[in-house]
Amino acid sequence: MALAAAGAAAQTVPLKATLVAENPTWPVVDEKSGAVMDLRVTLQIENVSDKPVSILRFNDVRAYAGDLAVGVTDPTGLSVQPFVWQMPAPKSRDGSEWGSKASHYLTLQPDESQKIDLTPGFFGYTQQDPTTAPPSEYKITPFGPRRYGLVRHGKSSVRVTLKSGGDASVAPEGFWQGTLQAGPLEVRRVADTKGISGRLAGYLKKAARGPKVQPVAATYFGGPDFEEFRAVGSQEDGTIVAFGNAWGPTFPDTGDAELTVLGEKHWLDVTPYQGGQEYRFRGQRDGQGGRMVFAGFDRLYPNRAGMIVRFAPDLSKVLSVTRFAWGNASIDQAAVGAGGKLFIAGQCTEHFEAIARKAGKMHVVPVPDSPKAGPVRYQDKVDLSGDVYVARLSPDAKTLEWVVVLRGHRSISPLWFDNAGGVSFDSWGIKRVDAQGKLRMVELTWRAGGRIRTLGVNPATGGVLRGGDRNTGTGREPWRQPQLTMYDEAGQPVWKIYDWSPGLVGHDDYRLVSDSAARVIAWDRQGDLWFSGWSDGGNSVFTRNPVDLDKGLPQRGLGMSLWGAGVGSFCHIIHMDADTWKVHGYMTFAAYLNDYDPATRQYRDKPNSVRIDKLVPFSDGALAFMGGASSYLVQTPNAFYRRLDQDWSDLPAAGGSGPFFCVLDKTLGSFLFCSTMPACDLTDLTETSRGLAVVSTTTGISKDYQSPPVVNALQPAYGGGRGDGHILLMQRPDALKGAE
Amino acid sequence: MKRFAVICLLVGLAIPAVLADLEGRPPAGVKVTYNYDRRNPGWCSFRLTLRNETKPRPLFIAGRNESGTMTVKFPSMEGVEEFEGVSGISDLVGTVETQSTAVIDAGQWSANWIGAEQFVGTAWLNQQQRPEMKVRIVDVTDWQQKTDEKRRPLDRDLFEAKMVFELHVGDKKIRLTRPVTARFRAPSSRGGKYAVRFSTDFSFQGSQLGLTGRDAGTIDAKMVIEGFSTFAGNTDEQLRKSLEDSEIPTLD
Repeated sequence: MALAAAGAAAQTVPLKATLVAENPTWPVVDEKSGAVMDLRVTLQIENVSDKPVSILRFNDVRAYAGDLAVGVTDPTGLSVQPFVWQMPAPKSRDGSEWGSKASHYLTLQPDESQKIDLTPGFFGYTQQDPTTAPPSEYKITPFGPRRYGLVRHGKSSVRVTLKSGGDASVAPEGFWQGTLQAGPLEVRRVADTKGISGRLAGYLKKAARGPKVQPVAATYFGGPDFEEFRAVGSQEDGTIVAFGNAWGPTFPDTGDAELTVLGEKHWLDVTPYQGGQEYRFRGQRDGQGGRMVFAGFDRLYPNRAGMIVRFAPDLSKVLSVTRFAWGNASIDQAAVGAGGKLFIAGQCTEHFEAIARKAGKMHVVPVPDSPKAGPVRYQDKVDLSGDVYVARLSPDAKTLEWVVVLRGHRSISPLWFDNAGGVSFDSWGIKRVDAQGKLRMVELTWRAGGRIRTLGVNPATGGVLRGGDRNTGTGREPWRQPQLTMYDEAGQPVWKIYDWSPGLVGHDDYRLVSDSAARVIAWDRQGDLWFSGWSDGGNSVFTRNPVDLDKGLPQRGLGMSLWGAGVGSFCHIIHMDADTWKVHGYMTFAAYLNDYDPATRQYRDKPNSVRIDKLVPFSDGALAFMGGASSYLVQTPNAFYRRLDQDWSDLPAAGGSGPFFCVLDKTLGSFLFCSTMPACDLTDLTETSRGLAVVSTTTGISKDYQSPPVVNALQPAYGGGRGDGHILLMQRPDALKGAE
Repeated sequence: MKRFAVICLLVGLAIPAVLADLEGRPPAGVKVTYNYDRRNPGWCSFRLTLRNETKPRPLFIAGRNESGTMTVKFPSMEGVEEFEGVSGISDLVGTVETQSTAVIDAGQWSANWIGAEQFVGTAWLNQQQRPEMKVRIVDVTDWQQKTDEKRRPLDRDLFEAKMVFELHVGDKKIRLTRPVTARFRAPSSRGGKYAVRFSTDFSFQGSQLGLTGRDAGTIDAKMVIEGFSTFAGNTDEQLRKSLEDSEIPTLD
């Protein structure tokens, strides 16, 4: 084992490297041979100069198995920016020929604003062994074939862990050698679409045209524990209201903002993790080894405290925070209704009724007569009531105006509003509370078979649109048929579209047999319908007029083509008049692969999967939507996420996978913004007076070491724990009118 | 012996033309029976679209063959003499003859009672029990090969003819004679069957079929009917056997 901190060039500064540990006490062992597979060496690297270290360069790093992971620990100041290296495969398995002798670089940049408090098990899918690793030690492991990343801090020192892994059956002694030095690093950037071809290149160029909306502000909201934002709304005066939960036991510091706590604390001594344990063992498919991974949160966790954070219109200030005391109620669905009233819904415990009784009105709906309703057992420790609730608060979030407690209903849908100030929701049937707080049931008198994927209330008429799909067959193949059925306010069916007979769809003249489903519904203020359909291929009925199979639809957007799609997940957005079924706009949306396929030795040009979770029509006719994407999302050049290629190139706008949102102009013809949101679980977005507010729950850093945007931030640094709330404000699309 | 020699000559001329796979129609002199059995082809090969200017939503109907046959006999042996070497079969000489008893069950409607007034055929949709709809092909006559000079060689399978057919809805029916376009399709090299696809546009008065109100007036229809031979698989073997066995080769 040899290590030296060397200064080879004029720019170098001395570093002190110390071997801290070799072979930790919890290696992964090959069960058959008994060989150590997970050999680790940990080094303490200190900058003993008075100059900041910008780069760590490992010279002559040798990896045996072609699977070398690097981690940096003890973060105290330095931020290590996204780092990628390619480790060639080993030339032999006996260690006689090393897999790599190349130099590898870690970029370290002091950036206090990006400081993130690492927590064991922080990195989604590769978690620290909780049983043996000290809390201050962290490990970062590969995020793709032959790619390794490193991101972290260290004001004066960093701790580096190198480990072998992968399919090594024997880890040779002294499996790596390295020297360390500091020096400049030239990062190669690709300014154009060089290296990208096919449809991806074309759509990237189209998406880059025209003015783009920019972020106005973006901030974290969170403390040392887990906090999440679940929904966002906007009040008439521009106030942005973010809804979410704190999982405790501590609540984030609210600073000067007024804090209102509803109810009394009823903390239960249970864990928030699925299965009762923070970590679980994930074995490999072949049964050989595995690793500990984060078990995930249990959404039934009864201690959650729903919180409402009211921000100034430009996110420059937190105006007020209202939260439930621990163990009363969560907020899982929320929105801002007419008059700035706040509507919230979620799970609640039996203690919540003490809060509800203080409201102006309270309705209690009894437990449905079904074995799927009623109390639930939480982690075999405590019985929970299974209650859910819907409530309306005053615009300042201090007073509950009415509450509906749905005993034993267990779950509740999103909330939909009508122009009369009422709110509708689905929890064992559609229920409606009018503006005066009067509750009534809406019985849909006709329900076809199949699944309900989405519901939406037309704010202009109060009618309910039900979207979904059913399994059927064309006579030649099975086919999942989309369904959109409109009901009037009384629950009577009014019309149904995409109700083609399956045999017709399978006819040789059409062959529109890709499985399809209606997934997302939205209504704009004019009463026009927007919806998103999902298909598993390119031959979808969504490419035809919803009421006339012989008529195509004019493709807007980037004119994305789905030829050669194969089986995936592709989206269609349709804007239509709900009375005449006239289609105002239509576009398909997909990502596009452009990677090298070693099997065919060609670059693939093929649509890749996307998913749309929410559509938000703007009052001026523009559209925003959010969802999830597989690799190579077509982004705009000002995207937050930059995909790093294998050679450390920066592809200009071809996004990676993950949650994304997109803003289109009112013609659907121009992309105003499109980006994946690194490290974020996007939960909601809404139009505000200043732009588009996007909320998410963030882990602060993604598994490929990118962080969400922080702009004019109230809280520029990640607060800690397994997650924080994150809110982003983008410019309004109509702010670009002068720039066009 | 003389007859055998003639058959051998015919086989020698006809088989290469068939195998050339340029023609969707059967070769000259061959009679093909298209079987409109419910299991042939086993999926919806019929479609009918009814439109009415006063209604926002057309009625789309799909259907399956139900019963009967259609026999298409192409011009007899004289046509064979017109073979033109490498370019395949020349235009037909003589008349295509057809016999039909085909019935199609137009039973799959893309509408139900929800919003029935929006569709063409409101009265049908509002009935307690939806009426049966059938199409019966009575005859196809006046065959003429389409002579578009710009056509591609594959369009030599395209014909125009007159079809006499009946549209039955419940206990009402109309009988129409309309020009149809017929396209013949040969089995592909991967198998399949001979097929003939008729398409036609026509109009009728809705009141003739029991429709009322805005539907009682003119309704424009577009109809596609497809028939398939029962024969499938190795085309050249079947044809060779047929030619050897009969003076009028038959595929069915």
